Amino acid sequence: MCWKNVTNLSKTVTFRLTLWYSMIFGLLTFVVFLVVYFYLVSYLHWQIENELLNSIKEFESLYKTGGIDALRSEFLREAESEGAHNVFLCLRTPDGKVVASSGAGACRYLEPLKPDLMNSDSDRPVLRTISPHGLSHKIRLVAKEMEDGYVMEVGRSLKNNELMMERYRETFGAAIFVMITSGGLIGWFMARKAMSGVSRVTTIASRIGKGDLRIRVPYGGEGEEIRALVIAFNDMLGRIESLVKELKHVTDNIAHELRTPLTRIRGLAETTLIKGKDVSEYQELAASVIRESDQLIAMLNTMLEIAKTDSGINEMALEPVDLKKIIEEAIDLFMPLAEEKDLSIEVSLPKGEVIIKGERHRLQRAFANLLDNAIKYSLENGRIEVSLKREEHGMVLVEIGDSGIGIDEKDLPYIFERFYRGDKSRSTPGSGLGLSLSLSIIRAHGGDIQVESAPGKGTKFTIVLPVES
Amino acid sequence: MRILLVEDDQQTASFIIKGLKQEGFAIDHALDGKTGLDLALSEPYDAAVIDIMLPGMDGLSLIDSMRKSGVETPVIVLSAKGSVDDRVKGLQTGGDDYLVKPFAFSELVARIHALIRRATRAKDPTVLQVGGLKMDLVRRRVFRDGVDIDLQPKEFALLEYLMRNAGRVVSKTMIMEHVWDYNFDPQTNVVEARICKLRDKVDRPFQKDLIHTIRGVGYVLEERD
Repeated sequence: MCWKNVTNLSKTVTFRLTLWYSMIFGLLTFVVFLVVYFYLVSYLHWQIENELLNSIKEFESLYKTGGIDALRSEFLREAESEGAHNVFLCLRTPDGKVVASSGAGACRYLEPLKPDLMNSDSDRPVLRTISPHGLSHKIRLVAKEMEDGYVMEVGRSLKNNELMMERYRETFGAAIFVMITSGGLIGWFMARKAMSGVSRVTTIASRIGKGDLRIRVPYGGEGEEIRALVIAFNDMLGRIESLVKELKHVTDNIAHELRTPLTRIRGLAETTLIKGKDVSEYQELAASVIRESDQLIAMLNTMLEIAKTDSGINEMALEPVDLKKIIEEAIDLFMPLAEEKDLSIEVSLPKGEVIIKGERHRLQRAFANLLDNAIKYSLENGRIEVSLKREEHGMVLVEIGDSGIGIDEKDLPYIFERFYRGDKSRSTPGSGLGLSLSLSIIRAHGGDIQVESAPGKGTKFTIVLPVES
Repeated sequence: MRILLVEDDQQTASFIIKGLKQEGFAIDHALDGKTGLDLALSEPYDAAVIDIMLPGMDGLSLIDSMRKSGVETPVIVLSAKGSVDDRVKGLQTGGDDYLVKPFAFSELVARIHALIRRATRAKDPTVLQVGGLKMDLVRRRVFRDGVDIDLQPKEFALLEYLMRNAGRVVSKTMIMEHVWDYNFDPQTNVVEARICKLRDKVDRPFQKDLIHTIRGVGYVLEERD
């Protein structure tokens, strides 16, 4: 495993959860250890003090009744039964001379009480812990002044207590280690289980990233969160797949739409070059080339306009525009074309302005396209009806109807697609982009276009747009 | 008339220079923004044609620096981007007009003339006259050889635009923009139909035609022998 993998591993959720579990388990165990430890220590302490105080009381009364000799023999018996290394008993004269002890040298380990301690309160025994030279363990010691001024000292080795605590610490150390390990294992296991859906999605996503957009992530029953992820992921895939498909479709169409006029331009230029005799033929050619180029440029500009509109109109560019005026102007613009075909245009507009928030030039374009279509696909002597109405819920309704050739039912769902042209419209000049652009523009303004059509009878486009509130 | 051209594409530049020289302009050409700015600040120009995409300093910052230095030379911005936002940006920076590539050369010429006219205009004329055709802008009446011609408002606007640009070719898109305020070509023959109607009134009843079609390019109103 190289270093990069190690650093990556340390960033995984699994690793972090494992670490967290280990730490939490370890910490909790340690806290329990501390609580129990201090409780035990204080309990043992209390126990040993009780014993010492009881002993010194017994020895004191024995000394009172039996004198030094009885005490001396009692000291020896005690040392024998408890072990010479465990008990240290001693009786000294006020000037520090040993008069009775539990064994040879027992008093050596005990130090005489300092006078200030002795004098402070003579009735109460004084308790101390000492670490004498030459002994490996501490001694807990109680000292008391007798009525005759002699000092009795009773000490017990803490060896057993210390050994016990040491064992306790060892055991708990092992327990902490076990807890940390098992905590880590549990964490790792749980994280793996929780993350298994994620890693499955990741595996499939990287496969999709390599090219196959048709693959979908199956749901493996890992839980609601993972199910939501899988659904969202698959939805996104579906959207991407259809976008890519559409992009490919549009690209194919652009290539096709470019190829046809370019072939025409090239053909014209070639024949003029080979067979052209005089300037007028070359002038003719130049004019045709300009016309064809202009059409190509217009088509590309329309494509860009659709893309730009689809990506959203800049809020800043929106201003109050009078929709009624836009429609009136469009009708005025197209009137001569309608007259050429002897079409009658019936217009029904409300009184006053109809202000909507929009972008003037784009709206002009949307309605010009629709009106242009209505005229283009009308038969001679036909009728075009344009109406603008205020609707409820702050909407306006524009209807543009014609009595033209109509749209086949099989074409109807596709007419707003880029470059789509129905069989009947192929003979009419046009790029197949007009309706797509109109729809993009209207949608960018928060509206929509609907179409109903009867072949041979006519087509009606209904546009709804929100009015400015 | 002296014009500054800032354009880094040699081919575009040479076709603009050639065309503008034929129109009788003197041209200084800079290939990048820095040189362009130096020229604009040191020489007096009647107008400047500035591309947006330039090496070194882009066209918009060039115009910005010009304006900040107090140079008020009218500027036409050239750009390959034609969306409304781009236009607005170009004009807000201090450009006076905006032309999208690829453009019709005649349109560039017409726009340069319009800019210079606007910058040096003393007073708006109240009467336009080309040959026997007379337009009274105040009373909104048109006469040819003394005969009153009755025009509809849009026909009047179209003829006014042609007369204001008399002798210069105007394209369909220019007509759409100035007469109908449409900034796109509707790809139909609406302009042809309008011109046809106008001719019926202005040219047909008289001996000589004034409105001429330049095939593939546009229209020109002038008196020809």
